[in-house]
Amino acid sequence: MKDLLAAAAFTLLAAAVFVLTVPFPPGAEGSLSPASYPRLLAASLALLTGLLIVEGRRRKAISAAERTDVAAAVGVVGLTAVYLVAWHRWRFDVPTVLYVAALSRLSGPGRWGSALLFAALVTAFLSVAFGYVLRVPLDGI
Amino acid sequence: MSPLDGFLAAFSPSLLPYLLLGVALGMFFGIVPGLTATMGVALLTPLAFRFPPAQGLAIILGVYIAAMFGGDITAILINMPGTPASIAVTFDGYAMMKQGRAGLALGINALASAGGSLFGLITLALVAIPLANFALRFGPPEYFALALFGLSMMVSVSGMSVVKGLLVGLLGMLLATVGFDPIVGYPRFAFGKPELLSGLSFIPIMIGIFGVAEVLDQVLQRRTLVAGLSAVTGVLGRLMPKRAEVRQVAPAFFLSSAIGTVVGAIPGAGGDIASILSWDQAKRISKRPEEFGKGSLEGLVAAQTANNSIVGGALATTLALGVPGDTVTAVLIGILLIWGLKPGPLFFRDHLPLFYEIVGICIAATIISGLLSVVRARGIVRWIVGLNRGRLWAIVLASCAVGTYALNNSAHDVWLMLIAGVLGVALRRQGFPPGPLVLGLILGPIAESNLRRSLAMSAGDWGILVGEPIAATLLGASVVALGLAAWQRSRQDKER
Repeated sequence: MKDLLAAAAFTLLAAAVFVLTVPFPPGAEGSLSPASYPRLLAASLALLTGLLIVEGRRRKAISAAERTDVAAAVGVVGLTAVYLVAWHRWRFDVPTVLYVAALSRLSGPGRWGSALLFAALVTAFLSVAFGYVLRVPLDGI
Repeated sequence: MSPLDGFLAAFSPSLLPYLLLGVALGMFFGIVPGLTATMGVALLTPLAFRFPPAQGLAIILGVYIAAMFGGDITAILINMPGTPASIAVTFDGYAMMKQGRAGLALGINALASAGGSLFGLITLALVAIPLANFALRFGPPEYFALALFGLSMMVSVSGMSVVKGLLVGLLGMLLATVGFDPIVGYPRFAFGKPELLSGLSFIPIMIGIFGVAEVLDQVLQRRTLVAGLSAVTGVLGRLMPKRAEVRQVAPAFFLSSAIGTVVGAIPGAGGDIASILSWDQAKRISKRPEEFGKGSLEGLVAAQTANNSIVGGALATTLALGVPGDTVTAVLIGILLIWGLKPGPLFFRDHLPLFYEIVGICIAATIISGLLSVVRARGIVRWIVGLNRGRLWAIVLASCAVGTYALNNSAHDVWLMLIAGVLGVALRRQGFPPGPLVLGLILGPIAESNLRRSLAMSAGDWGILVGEPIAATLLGASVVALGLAAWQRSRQDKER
């Protein structure tokens, strides 16, 4: 089932490449067009997808009774996305302190004060290293 | 000044402060996720100009060499290669970290990296010109074959399934087609977005696939991580290998040193290909191949030795031919030209003492980096494993975001990193190895442009790819490597 989902995704990608390359211009005689190489890769993807399904049937199923914390992982991705928007729209320091403090509390209960102090130190280091030493403009990206 | 005087000048006390500055900054660029040796060399170029060539080169070469050491440290401790050259170091280095042998992995990192680097530099001093002449024989068919060879090596060494490795490698090559076509400049898959016209930068994707995905994977399995970290905390273990272990890894060391030096001399082929190739070859000659990928000392030594020994080969090609061996030496050529030093065959005639001084500077930087990484390794590992998980994740993710942004001052790159991180964790959970994706991204443009140039040279005759002996050998070796790997996996499946 796992491999079937991946196979479906790769097949869709290969099909999309063929569709998207239709308007590409033809190449000169004796040379490849801009579409040829991506199509070659897409055809190889489609071929290997078939092999993936065959291989998945031959391989013995391995039980994967592993506990995973999907909500926490989705939370980290969401938090990172919100942080990037805040950094992009506003400034670097305050969103970074809040982001680092929130992430550092992910591992369990703790004091917000200690998390904020740690976050302020990390943010100060990043600001000095990137903003001051390397002269990277961190605000208003 | 004689060549010997030039060599000894590199060890004079007047150069030491510049070397120390370069090495310290190089360690910083190697260790902090998102920073690379190329970025460090590029950013420090304005500083290096202010000094005479020897002092300026001490800073630049110090950064170059120390960043290699530093990149391996993060690959071992947090499964995040500082550069693509350190990808193969994660295979066994991170496994050793999880087994509570982080100290030994870091000690070996210092010794193997220093040894590999010294081997490459001594070879550079002895055979620079003949080696560079061989690399000069590479044309488009050979480069195309080399790109496929590099990818096939990566696929054959990563994961349980060759098919899955190939699929991910092809996905990387397909992602590399985004942006302007390399031959006629036609925009492909850009969807009208200007940011996509120059293509997908592989460094944000690499940081996402290895850095962000690693954190997300650890968040997903928070119970496993707790066990892993508590096992390591306070149990750093010994730093230095025992005599029997040194004897065990010696064949892998010498083989990888030779492979790294030769691969480094091939323009465009860097430590990524060298370390993967060496890891695979070391596995083939090992008496304990089953340990590779699970914390093998030989695997770790092979990967680290090769990615450091490329420095000698890359400098040989750069100085003898004026062709950069990798991205860092491309920047180095620009610096040398500004000093009025033109790299090429005449460099050895006109500036022979400086050539030996460069070799000496690299050797001195290697020794200092090796000592520093041993001395600092204990502190780094204790600091990292002593942090609680949330704080470690926070540091890694924030460094990834800021480091990625700093590459091009681009918010687009940071979003790309996050998307790559999500893709990376999805691939891992489905059993797809992430390494071939990044290598496909790096090698994709080399493969496409050289395939199309080859076909243009032969008026569309595909026979040109197997008509040249070097290209035919590389393509044959790729097929053999993939076939062997598929056969081995099939045998392992049956045994289960």
